[in-house]
Amino acid sequence: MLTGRARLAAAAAILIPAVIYLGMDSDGRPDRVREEPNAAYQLADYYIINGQIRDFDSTGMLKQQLSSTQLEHQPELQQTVVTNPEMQIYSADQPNRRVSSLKGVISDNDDEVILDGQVLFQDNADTNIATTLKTESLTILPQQNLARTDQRVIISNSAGTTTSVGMTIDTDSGILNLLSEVSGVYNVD
Amino acid sequence: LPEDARQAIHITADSATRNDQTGITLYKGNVLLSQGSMKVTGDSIELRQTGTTITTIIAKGRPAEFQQRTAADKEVTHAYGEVLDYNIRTKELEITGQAKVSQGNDSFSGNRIIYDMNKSTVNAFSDHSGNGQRVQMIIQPKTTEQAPPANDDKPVSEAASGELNNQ
Repeated sequence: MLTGRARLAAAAAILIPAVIYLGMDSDGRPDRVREEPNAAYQLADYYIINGQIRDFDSTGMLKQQLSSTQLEHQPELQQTVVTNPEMQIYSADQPNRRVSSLKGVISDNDDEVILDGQVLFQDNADTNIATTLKTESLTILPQQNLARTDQRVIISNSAGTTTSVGMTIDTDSGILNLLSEVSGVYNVD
Repeated sequence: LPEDARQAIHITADSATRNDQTGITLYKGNVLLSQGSMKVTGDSIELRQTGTTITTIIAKGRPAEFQQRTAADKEVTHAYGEVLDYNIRTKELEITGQAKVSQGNDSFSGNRIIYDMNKSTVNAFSDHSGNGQRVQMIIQPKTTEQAPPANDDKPVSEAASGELNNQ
């Protein structure tokens, strides 16, 4: 099952790409009234091909990095669509969490992030305490500290594997609810 | 069986909640846990872990049931109760509430039973309230050449202990 450190940091992790482009960091940006999209906007007002965005902390340490084959902002729908997003979160300059999927949709006001297609979370990736969570779709509600899916979920680490259909995670308290058809295997040391 | 402890633990349930900070996973709804010949069923089963190691299994039900074959040539031991608290390291099972342990035709019942699987010993305790459940032991006579003791079917005092089929 997910270990302590495997608590899903999805909200924080995924939220950042929604706002780190173009300096839209939520702390620095005044609260703005949701503007009605200008009729002249076509579907996309900007897009980035094979982009890699890196975010550093105040001491210059790499905090997270997002790469994607395409990122497109759609003003009319007030969302950003990311193709093949892969997010790496660094701790002490080492990537310790990785989040990827085939597609991501991030709402402009940062209240919802939807990951679709081969969603994969890896905590402590490439270590012997690695934990992975796989599902086909995941909705993250950063402002509610919540991530949820109604799809099949597979959570595995060296201690075992647990599957269920439907899951919610409180990314603040780390409490994971497996909603139905729960099946677990615990390896014995 | 002795090798049970080295086998993976399998568990199925209707739903589950995992709290990373406490290391407790609570499985609910038609819960079945198995590890080799050991099986535990209940309305809910709580697994407590230290790190990635499971230390305690707590089953609750009406009643919850625990069963295990202690040796290849022994009959399956069954334990029933409202709460079954199994310490994996000490192999001690504490049963509370309508507690009963049986192996073949022998059985112990009381309000609380502590069943030590390492020693195959059972300590049964009654409920101290007036109308509580007293300890009851039923030891079936063994085969004739073993000079069967009298069939002791009557309730016993406040507490009793005995050994399960150890010949």
